[in-house]
Amino acid sequence: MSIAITELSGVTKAALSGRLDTASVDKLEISFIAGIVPKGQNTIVDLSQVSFIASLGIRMLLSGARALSRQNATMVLYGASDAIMDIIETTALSAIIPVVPGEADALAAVAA
Amino acid sequence: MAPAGFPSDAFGESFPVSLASVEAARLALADYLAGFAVSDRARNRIEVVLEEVVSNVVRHGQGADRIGLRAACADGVLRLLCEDNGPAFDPLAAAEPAPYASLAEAAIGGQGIPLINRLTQSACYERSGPINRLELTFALT
Repeated sequence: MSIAITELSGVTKAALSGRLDTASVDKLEISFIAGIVPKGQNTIVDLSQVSFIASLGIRMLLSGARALSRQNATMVLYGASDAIMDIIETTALSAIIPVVPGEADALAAVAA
Repeated sequence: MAPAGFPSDAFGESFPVSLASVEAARLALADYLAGFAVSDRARNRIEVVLEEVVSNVVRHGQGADRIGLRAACADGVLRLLCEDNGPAFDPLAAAEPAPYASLAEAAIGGQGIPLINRLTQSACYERSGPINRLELTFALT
């Protein structure tokens, strides 16, 4: 599991890769939150290289989105595979955090 | 001797209660399932539920020192039995969390047990002496 934080014209991009399982989230949640929340900007999260997600991964995404929302910033997820989308929809996370197909869609969503 | 309904050649392994066992259990069950026709969607759901079950014992099963897994595939269904010797805990008795209504009000965490309930075909818990027994079934396609 790895995370890369970059900047796209005032939008934070967090690209996650690997498995968002118990062991990985325990190690990387702090880096994810510290990488996006202090900036206080709209944030897009690239899930295209995430191969697995369980409840702690859902919690990590929700924590980040909620912390950003308190700063009036929005998080949008994109690039989820069918397997990842199945779990996101099963937990109903997609009811409160937008999930869109690609990066252009995500940038448009945070700009809306 | 295998529990009722589990043939003698069914999958069966025991793991220490440690975080490393979450991945070890996943790999062991994946190796067993490789011999069967399992859809990608079903395989992912099985892995997610296994992750939740084993990690629950690792993180919350104080005093438990072994996690036992048995699995058998028949008629398009995986039957998975998870046992641990931790304190009695029925994960299926936990109340379903409230549906997410807004980001501001959403509970952080608490999705592990709902995932077990929602991603399985059936789930049954019993306390058998000093053992928690959680039996789960999944459609393989």
